[in-house]
Amino acid sequence: MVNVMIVEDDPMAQKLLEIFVSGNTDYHVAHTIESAAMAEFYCMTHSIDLILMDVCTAMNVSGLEAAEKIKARFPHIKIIIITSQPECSFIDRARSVGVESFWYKTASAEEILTVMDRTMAGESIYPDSTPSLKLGNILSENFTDRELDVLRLVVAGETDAAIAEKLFLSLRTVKQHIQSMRDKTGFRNRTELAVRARESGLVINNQTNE
Amino acid sequence: MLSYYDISMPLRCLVILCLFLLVCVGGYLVAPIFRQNKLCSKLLLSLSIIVCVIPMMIYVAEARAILRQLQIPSVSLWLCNQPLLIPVVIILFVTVYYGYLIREEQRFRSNTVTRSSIREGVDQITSGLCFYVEGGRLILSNSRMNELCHAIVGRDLQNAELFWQILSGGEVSPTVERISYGSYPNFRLENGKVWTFSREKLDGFIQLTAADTTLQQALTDELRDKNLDLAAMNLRLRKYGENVDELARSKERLETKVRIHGELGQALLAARRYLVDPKAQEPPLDIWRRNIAMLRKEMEAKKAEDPLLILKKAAASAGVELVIRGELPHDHEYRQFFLIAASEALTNAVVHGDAKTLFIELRGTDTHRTMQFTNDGVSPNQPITEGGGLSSLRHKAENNGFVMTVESTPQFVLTITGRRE
Repeated sequence: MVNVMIVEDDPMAQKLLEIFVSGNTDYHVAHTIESAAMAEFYCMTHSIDLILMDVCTAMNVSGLEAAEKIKARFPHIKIIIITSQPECSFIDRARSVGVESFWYKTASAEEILTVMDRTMAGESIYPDSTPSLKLGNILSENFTDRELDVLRLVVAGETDAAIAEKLFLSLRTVKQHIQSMRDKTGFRNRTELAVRARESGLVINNQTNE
Repeated sequence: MLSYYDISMPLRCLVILCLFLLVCVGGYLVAPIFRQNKLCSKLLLSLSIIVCVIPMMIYVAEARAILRQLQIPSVSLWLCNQPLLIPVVIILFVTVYYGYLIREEQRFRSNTVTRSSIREGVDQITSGLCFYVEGGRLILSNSRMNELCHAIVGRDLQNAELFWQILSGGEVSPTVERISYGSYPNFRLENGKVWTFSREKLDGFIQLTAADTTLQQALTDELRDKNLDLAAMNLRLRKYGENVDELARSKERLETKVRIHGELGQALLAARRYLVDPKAQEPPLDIWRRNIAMLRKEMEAKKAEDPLLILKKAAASAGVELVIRGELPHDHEYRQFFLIAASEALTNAVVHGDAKTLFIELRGTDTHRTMQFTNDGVSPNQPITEGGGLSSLRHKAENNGFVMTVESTPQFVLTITGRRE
């Protein structure tokens, strides 16, 4: 029997995952918690084999950051990151912290159970790519990585100077990146770019956890 | 030849008046000519004054004797009988010479840097300028600095050191608005002009300057206003981001509901088939249970956003009791950080101290608020070396503007203090 911990702040998604997992006799829902802040604590004090963890959890605590801590201390615990957000950096970050699998939420029990089975069998399951989004005149894959880094901080409400400081860029370069994104998307100003990017879920910035 | 006695009394008076005027002009020229290093000029000026004074005195004595009907002095009689040409030549010569001297003096003044030319020069400067020595004694100050002193302090500039102390942090006239204190104090005067002062120690002197920074101040004010607008817009953007998160979750929930709705349809069809022919299939209980569970959850669906509840639930699962003193502020960001700090304190308490109780104290003042964590576990036997969790927490605390301290003796105490916003 595999002890599963679910880290999900949305009660409905929580319940759905509980139903999916408990519907299979190989798995046992050991704990369901709302915030990734407590995930490491549960791993220390309970026997956990597999974690299904959302990226954005209660009190804005990042599941990816919790996953990094858990993998450092408990490398044997397998983690599946689940998210509905198409934020392009999530997959890269999940890979870099050693998360076994990554799954974009669907309401299908079979899909998640298949991912769980394959992960427990030692496979690493990742989507081929992030979902493609249309932002203004272009698709999300037309942004460069650096532009997305800048956009992430624009969306977080940082000033150009603060972005330059955080990304170790010159102010002029930051302005150029923003202008380039505006030119590509056709958005009229910085605010429209930020609002549309945030709405689409292309970039998400969690201030508390950075 | 025509002598002084041969001319009428009015003409005599005119001669005396001319000589008197020349003596006066000569006296006026003494100071500037004797200031110069020209011996010849000094001698000639002295001589010209003497040659004017002597006949003037003699003619005056003669006139006085006539008016008072006294005996005319013999020297006066002698001079008055001399040709009139003598005083006339003296008057003409001295007049020409004085004209030359005045012209030379003017040329000297315009071509030479004198004390007064320095004074005039600094007065022409539009900025305020003042030189003084230790103690405040003035060496030189221009009219602008005097005006500024009068406008800011309400009195004339007499002690520059005292004036600087007032500029740096003292009380100024109520009509003046102080914009900043410190090494470069600046003020907005009643006329709207902004002046910035600075002080610099030179070789043996102290220089005090005042610059008109009205334009710079206006630009600074404009920039500040724009930055405030930008900060407000960024804050709105951040709040908007939080709302969008909620919107995304709502969309997610809606998709789940759609899925459940679909499953409910399936359940109804399965139930109908079962009711029509109960022997043909098993009762569709699982699908009904799942749907009913989901529908129940939907009714009570409420996001768990209380960090204390999340913490209590975790602590209870490991048999740890929480003792909380004080109230957790409602500020969302502070509550978020509290949960992160508390989870670290709880982990440390259980893993390193084998604690059964975690004590949390939340206190605050008008300006600051503090969260403090201790536990009843085993005290550390050596100073705690921060690594992993505590180090990561310190990084986050400092990023959020908090100050974190960790004490090892007599027991583990984690304290985090931040300014109240």
